[in-house]
Amino acid sequence: MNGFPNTYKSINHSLFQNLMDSTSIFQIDHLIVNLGRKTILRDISAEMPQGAVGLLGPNGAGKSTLLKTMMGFLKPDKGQIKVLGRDPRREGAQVRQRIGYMPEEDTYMPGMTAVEFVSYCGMLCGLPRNEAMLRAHQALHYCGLGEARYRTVDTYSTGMRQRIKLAQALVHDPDLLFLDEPTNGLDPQGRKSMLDLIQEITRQKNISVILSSHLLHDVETVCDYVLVLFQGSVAASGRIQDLKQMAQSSYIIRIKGDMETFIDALREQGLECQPSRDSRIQVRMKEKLGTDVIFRIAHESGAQIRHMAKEEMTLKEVFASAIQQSNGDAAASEG
Amino acid sequence: MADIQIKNLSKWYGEVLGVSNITAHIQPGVIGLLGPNGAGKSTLLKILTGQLRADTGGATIGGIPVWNRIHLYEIIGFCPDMEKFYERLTGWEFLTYMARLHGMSKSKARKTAREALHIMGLDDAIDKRIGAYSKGMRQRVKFAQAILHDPEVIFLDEPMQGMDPIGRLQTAEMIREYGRRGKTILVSSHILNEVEDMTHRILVLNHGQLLAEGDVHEIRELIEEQPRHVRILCPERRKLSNILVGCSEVQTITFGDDPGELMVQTLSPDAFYQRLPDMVMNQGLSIDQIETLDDNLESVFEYLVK
Amino acid sequence: MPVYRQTYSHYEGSYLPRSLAWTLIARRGILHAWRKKWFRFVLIACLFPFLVMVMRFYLAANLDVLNYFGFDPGSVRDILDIDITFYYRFLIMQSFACFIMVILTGSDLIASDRRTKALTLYLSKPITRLDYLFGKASIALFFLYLVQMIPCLTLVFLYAFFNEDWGYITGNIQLIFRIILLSHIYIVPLTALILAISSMTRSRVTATVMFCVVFFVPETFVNILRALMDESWMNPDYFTLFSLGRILEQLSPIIFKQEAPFDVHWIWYALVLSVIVGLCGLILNKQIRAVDVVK
Repeated sequence: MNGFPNTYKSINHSLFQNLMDSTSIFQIDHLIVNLGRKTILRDISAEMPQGAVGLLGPNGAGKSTLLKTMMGFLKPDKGQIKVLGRDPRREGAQVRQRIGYMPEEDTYMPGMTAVEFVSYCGMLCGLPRNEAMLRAHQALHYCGLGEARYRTVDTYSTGMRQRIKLAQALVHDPDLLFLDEPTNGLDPQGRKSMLDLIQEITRQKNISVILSSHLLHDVETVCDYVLVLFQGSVAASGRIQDLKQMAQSSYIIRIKGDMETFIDALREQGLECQPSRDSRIQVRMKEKLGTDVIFRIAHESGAQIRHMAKEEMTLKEVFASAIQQSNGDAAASEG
Repeated sequence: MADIQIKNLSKWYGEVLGVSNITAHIQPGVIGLLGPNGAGKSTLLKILTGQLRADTGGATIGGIPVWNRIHLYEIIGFCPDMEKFYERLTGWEFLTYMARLHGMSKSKARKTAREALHIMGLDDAIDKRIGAYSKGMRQRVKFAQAILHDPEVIFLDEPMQGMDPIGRLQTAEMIREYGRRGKTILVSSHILNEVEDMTHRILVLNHGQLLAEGDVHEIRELIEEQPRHVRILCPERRKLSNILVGCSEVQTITFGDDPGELMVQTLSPDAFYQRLPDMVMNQGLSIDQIETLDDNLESVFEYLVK
Repeated sequence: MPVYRQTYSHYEGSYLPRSLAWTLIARRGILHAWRKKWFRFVLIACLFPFLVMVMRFYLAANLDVLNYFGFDPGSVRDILDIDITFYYRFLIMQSFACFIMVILTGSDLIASDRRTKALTLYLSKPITRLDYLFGKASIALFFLYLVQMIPCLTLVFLYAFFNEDWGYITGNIQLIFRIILLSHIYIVPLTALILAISSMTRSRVTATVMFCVVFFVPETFVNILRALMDESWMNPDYFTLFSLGRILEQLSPIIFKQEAPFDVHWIWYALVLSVIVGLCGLILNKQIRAVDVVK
């Protein structure tokens, strides 16, 4: 095998250089993508740094179109796109060589054992035969399929299929993972361990991830950055922490005891409050007023404070407001 | 208003256990039906909707036994977990037929179907074939079919599977709304935080057995062997910890990484929480935040299903 | 003594160039087919005529052996005589094996990937659609060569070997070209057709049925039309242009300078054959995509 030109090694090097320069996993500039006569992505621009990026949006927002354009399957009609410093239009195969893709659909290659399947995927990505075998075993262990690695994939359960899809995406040691709905069909434990795994891959193994999901909670758990698409345009993008600016200074309290009296007592102190879901109370605090007053009321009424925390905006609210805003913009521009 | 009474219910498939000896009384409101894959959720739903006959025991809904009673279907609605159905019909045709099956007149059925589609936000897709629907739209049609005849009890099997975030928010709100109207809604789901947004009443199954039924926080109280983890943010955490050391109900105290963070473990949370406000008042301490870390659905589920 | 935690580690080595990817797909598919017992059985059955011919060649070169068994070599000499038409007849005989092989190895090549949606997985790797197609086609081509062209060329070689007449090969270079050309006339359209059909369905059975329909139904119609049509109005042989089987039937004798069965110039047949292969290419180009365009 030594006789063959070592193309990918050199690519790796220049890629690494590129990453050092830009440290972004993708850059998109005024990108327009049409499918048939329909415009799917309308003039979007975005750039995401290394790390875990959530890709959010309702059905038909253009998420999979964006992923497929980044892998070079679709040719943009206008604009610039760079993934890991390369243009997928001209260097699609080279981009895919550094990407691991975990598709949403329930897919596998039929008639193979798990090890065969994953090592075959490794070889297709350019791993030498022996290396592919070693890394396939490693990837299967890492994804929690160690016990089942000699079974044929056709007999796998939904949860195991999700794991093997991750293993086949990881086997060639990519720089970037595309995960499309990785927790689909998993039960709570399966979902948690999948999210833990993704988190470890991004935080400890330095592999960047683009996570496309309908479950905002999953994105919130795993990702640092988010890109929200809506009707083919960017509705919001950036660090999740920055997007979740603190709501007004209000507290969420959960008590054990009589809620009515507690609320009455709070209102007597001139605090605005209202019961919210799950027997919680939302209390709007006045300036400079500490939490002492809440404790005093608890002390007097004999109620237990089980939870008391500043209210933070959740990604759900960030998402909802982003969609609402761009919906309004679209309506305004049409009207 | 109709409640669900389940008594000593068991079901086997040959030698495979579906559900085993379940007894529960479900009051109106939203109830999350939780459990890992293969826990028996679908079996339970099928028995309660009269599609399967229990091997032992039985159940009644609003006083009507669930097996072999045609009247049952006047008060229940069921949204099954399946992907394909009547691909060639349009959403409106499908719902009209369903409404006709409920005994509505032709004109009323059409009107009801249209209304149900409107409630589900499917106005645009009224004349589209179901075969061309997205996953989320199929779910909505299935949901619409379950509520056509305004039933008292609604069973939803993974109603949000495959929906996009907006669909999920809307569906959750709709389920809460039905709960507020006094309907009994049993929702099975794997997405615990979404269940938590809809209700705090749950029914947990594992290996066909009922593990818990009721309010999440009450269930948490009953899991006594797991100490409660409380995270407190207090500017004077050393002072606070000194006081806490003296409390018999406190098991361990650790300092966290965040400024002012204090982690407390306690086995008798009631006594601890009862004392906390007193201590704070007496010592003139101020506390910014109290969080009971494992008093949420996720940890309760984890403790129950091991 | 170091302590290692079992975990994921990065790959430090180098990657092989992409140009090899199609060989991986081909190798994998060939091994996969070979693993099945019944397939090996059919393959050997398809090669059975070849084994018989090897014996015949041996006998023709060593007639004296027959004395040993008590036969008179002179009486069979004419039967065993081998000329150019012999290779022609052998190729035509093995074209039946080609037909069986192309169905067995080809019908599930792309259909199975569509069934389990593995096409997305393949194309998400650093290979192109052409790599994929070439790899898949190689699997069918390999077995078709194995039952038709390679045995025939081996016979040419064996003739020279048994008669110790190496000049036979150099003297019959034209024959070798004819053999190669004739096999390709069979193998390439069959492979293109089965791949195109396989890419349109998800099931091996459907693919097989469709292949047989495309092959035999036009042939039946052509036969009926030829029987019904009045010769004075137009040459009924023109109908044979619509049947793949008849096209091959017409082209093969021409390559071996034998008498062609139909009264239409061969160039038309060659043209229709290229159109069929081109159509298959267009179908494959449309079907093998990582993107499903939803209307």
